Amino acid sequence: MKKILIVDDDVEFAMSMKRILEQYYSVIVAHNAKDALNYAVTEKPDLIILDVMMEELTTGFHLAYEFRNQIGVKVPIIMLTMIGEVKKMKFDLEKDSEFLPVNEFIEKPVDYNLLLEKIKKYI
Amino acid sequence: MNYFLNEISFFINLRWLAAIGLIFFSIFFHLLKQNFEVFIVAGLYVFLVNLIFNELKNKKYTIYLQIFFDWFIIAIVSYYTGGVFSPIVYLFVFHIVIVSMLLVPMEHFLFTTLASLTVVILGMLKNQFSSEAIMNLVFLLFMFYVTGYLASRQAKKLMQAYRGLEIAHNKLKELDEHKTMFYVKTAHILKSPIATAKTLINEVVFRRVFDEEVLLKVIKKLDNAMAIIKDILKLEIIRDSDIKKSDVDIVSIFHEVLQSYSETIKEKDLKVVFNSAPIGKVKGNYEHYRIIAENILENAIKYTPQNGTIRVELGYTDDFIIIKVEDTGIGIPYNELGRVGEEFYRASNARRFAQNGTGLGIAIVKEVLKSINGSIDIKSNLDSGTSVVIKIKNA
Repeated sequence: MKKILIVDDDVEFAMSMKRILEQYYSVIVAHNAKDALNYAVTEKPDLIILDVMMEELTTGFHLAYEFRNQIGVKVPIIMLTMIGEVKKMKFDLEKDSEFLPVNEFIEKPVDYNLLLEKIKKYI
Repeated sequence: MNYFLNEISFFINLRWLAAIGLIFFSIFFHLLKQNFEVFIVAGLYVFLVNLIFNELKNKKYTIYLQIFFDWFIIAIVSYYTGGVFSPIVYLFVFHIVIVSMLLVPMEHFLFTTLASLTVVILGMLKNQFSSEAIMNLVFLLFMFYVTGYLASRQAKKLMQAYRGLEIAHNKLKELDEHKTMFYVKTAHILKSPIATAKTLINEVVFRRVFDEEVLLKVIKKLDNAMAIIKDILKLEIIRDSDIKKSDVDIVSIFHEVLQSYSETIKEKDLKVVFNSAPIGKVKGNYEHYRIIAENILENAIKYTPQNGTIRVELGYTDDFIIIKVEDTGIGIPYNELGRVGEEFYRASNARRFAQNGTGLGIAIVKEVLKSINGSIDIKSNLDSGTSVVIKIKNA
């Protein structure tokens, strides 16, 4: 069974996604950046669903950057945002990097049919 | 500084016109069979020095160069066109006005004196000692100083008004930016519980199962959104400057608020120690003190784990009313202590400990205290507790 890592500090939100997704996939949940980085390596998920806003407004962006550039996690990332698609987000960590290393965006509140459709595109 | 440089550029442009004007003057005087050569020389001089000024227009000292070179040419042309009787000496007045408006009083006084001495020397060089010449000279000197004084006085007033406007403009801009940020943050913070509530409803619809537990979570999330809206409205109440004052019993307000949390206190088995000095009634607004009590006590109760202790002490000195609330709660991380009180900021451990919270509580208390001459001091040790001391000026 394919494995999905959900990263969101809103417990109710993350657990709701878990209840739906675990009907089809194996699901692990991280509520903070530290656990997310840990699980992304140890649990070897096939896909990551990542919330933009956590401890800080941009924690999700930095996490996406770290997954890709620091710890070499290459699996698809779906980013949860409040404002639809985010383009040309600048990172504080690397001034010349204007890209956002994620594959898809999905807006909160989540439409589960749409989410499952997007996940199926990758795993 | 920009204002100053703009003026330098303006006078450079004006001087191009002056150079052209002088050439036209010389033609005009030539036609009238008058002495015209000096105007040609002056026109060329003004044109050439203006080329230099134009190169140096971004330097502040250019204004001094302009003053010096203009003074020189006015003196020379005046000498050749009639000394103290020359109409050109009146250009000094024009010059004094400009200098008075742009430079500091001491500088414009020095320049006015220089112009005056120039006119006196002109008279001496041209042997103009008749009573008519002396009268003309005295009149000129009187006009120079009075004009200089009046222009400088008005310029000072205008400059003060300009600076006042600049300060007001910057303050308004800052307020506007803060307001915009507040709206953006409010939208984000408010959208979060609503988005989760809708996602939970989507879950029920998707699963086609009536799940009471999920629906109760929806209610909890919507309650959180309501709490945020209520807090924002509270901020509006506090900012209302027409708020009414009456005799307020602070001790009973704190008792009332503690009473309203009695269920949670019982559930968590918290020990509440309440000490109060006989403060009596103070002049103030009931709503303000209620807001302070609610927010401070709510934080203490919310972030103190099972079996903890909350100490409330109400006292006073000659000048201040002192409210002290101590708890044995989760505390605030040292590096986040400075951010507590920022609108919508919640400490990382507070967010983990209690999902629901508005992040506005202390910001609201600070806003109240600002309007009633109060201060707040928060000390905290992570995992061992927080102490909040509020001092309010005794009206």
